[in-house]
Amino acid sequence: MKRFLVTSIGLAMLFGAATGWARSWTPVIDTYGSSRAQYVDRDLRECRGLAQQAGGDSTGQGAWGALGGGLVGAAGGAAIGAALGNAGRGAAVGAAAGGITRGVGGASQSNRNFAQAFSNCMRQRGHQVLN
Amino acid sequence: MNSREWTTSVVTLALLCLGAPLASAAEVAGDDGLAAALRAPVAESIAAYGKKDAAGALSRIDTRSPDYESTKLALDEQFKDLDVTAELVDFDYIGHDDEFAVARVKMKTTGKPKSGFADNTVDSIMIFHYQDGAWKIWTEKVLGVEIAK
Repeated sequence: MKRFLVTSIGLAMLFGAATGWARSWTPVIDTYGSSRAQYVDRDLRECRGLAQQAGGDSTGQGAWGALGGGLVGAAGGAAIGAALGNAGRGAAVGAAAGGITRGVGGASQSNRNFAQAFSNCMRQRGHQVLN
Repeated sequence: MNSREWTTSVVTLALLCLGAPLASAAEVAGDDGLAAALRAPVAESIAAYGKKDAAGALSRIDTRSPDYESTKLALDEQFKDLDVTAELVDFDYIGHDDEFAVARVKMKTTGKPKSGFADNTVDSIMIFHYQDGAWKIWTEKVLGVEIAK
C-alpha cells in the first residue's frame, strides 16, 4: 500500500506545538570560499520548508515541493528517499520524519528535529554549516 | 463561372480539405519527434545515474540551469552514500515555445532492501532548454511524491 506524501501534511498538523522558534531559527552558514554562496538564500528558504515538515511544524505545507527543489532528475528522488528513510546522510532527517508518524515528540523534540533537518539539508546542498 | 473555373475551384477546395489533415499529421509527427527528443535526456540521465556516472548524468542537464550546481554536488554525495536505482515510469510531453519545452515525468527511485531508503515515485513537471544542438533538462517542479510502503 502506498500513501501520498502530500496527505501526510495532515499528520504534521496533529502536532499543534508548532512554535515560533521553528519559524525563526536559522543555521549559521560560513560562505567563505564557497562556490555556493549565491544560493544560500534560496536553499535556506527551501530547507526551512523541509525542516518544518520534518520537525512537525504545521506551517510546513508545501515542503514536499521544496524537498525536490534544487535537484533535477534521479538526484531528486534519491534525496527524497534518503531524507524520508534512514539511509546515508539523510538519517537525521529520516528519523525526524519518522517521529512525526510515530507520534513521538513534544515541542522541544520537534525543535531539535527541525534544527537537525534544517542543518542537514543545507549541508546536503553543499554549504558549510557551523551549528 | 465557366466550367474551367468551376473545376479549378473544386480542385482547390479538395486540396485544401486534404491539406488540413495532412498538416495536422505533420504537426503530430513533429510533436512525437520532440517528445522523443525530450524523453532521451531523461532516460539517458537515469541510465547514467544507475552507473554512478555523474558526468553522464550532468551532460543531460543544461549547464546554465539554476539547478546544475546543486545537482552536481548532490550526485557526488549520493554516489558516495547511497546505492539506489532509478527508472522512468511515465513521460508525457506537454508543449513548447521557441526556447523551452515542458513534459510531465514520473520517476521511481528504489533502494537496496533493508537499506533504509524510502522507495518513492516523484511526479514532476520538467522543463527543457535547447543547448548545443540538443534538448537538455533545465529544471523540475515536484507535483507530488508517492512513497512505497
